[in-house]
Amino acid sequence: MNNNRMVWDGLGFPVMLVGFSLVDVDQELVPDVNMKEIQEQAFLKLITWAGRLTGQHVRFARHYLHETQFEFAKNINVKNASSVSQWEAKGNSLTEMDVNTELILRMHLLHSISSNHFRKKGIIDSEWKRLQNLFNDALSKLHENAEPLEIEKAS
Amino acid sequence: MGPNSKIECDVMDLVCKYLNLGKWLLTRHAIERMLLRGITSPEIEYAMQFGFHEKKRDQYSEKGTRYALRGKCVDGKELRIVVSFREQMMIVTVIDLDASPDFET
Repeated sequence: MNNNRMVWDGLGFPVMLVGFSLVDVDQELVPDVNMKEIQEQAFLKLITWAGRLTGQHVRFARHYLHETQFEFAKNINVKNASSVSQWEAKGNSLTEMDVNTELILRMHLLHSISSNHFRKKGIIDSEWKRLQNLFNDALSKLHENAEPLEIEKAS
Repeated sequence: MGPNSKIECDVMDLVCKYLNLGKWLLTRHAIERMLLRGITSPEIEYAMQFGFHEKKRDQYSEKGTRYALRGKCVDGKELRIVVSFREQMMIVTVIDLDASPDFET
């Protein structure tokens, strides 16, 4: 089994890739990832991730959902888009948003995938339930110094 | 439709095909540009998906053709994305046109 580990910034923020090989493209070695799968995995992992979200995490999740800052703010019940803009401007630093707001934000992400991705892919309700349990578990353990998000190559 | 329409359609068809399969990779240079401007990968995907082939910006060399794509992100930010086709689609560079107006000339 390939246990290669490498930090990669291809999503716009650092993630730890586990088990990915490198491919040579025009004399440059790049991780052999499937962007569709890796973006989906990262999005799902962010929902239940044990660390507090950074500005780039929020930006990535919002872009993944194809939402403007205004739409995103409305969906998480934040007064205006400037709050979202301020969080995202933090880049790879923590957003410093209120914990309760972060929980609502994660619920919005969870709700979005439950109504779109999962139905499209035909993933059944038990998976949805599993994710909810994971989510509830993770929320009770959020802390500020988590390691980079870890993504393993799908078998 | 003009005489070049077919070629332009073919490039965008290829782009959509690779996007749908998730078969696109980022060069180190493209990632550096992304980090510099806070651009995320779904933003690039969106701009390519709903963008167009900017043929006059294509670059030809011995290594092959690099195609210029241009599109708006969900926030309205305009990106130019230079790609080349191998077994996968390589994102060679990403230019934020709103932040780099000098690239526009």
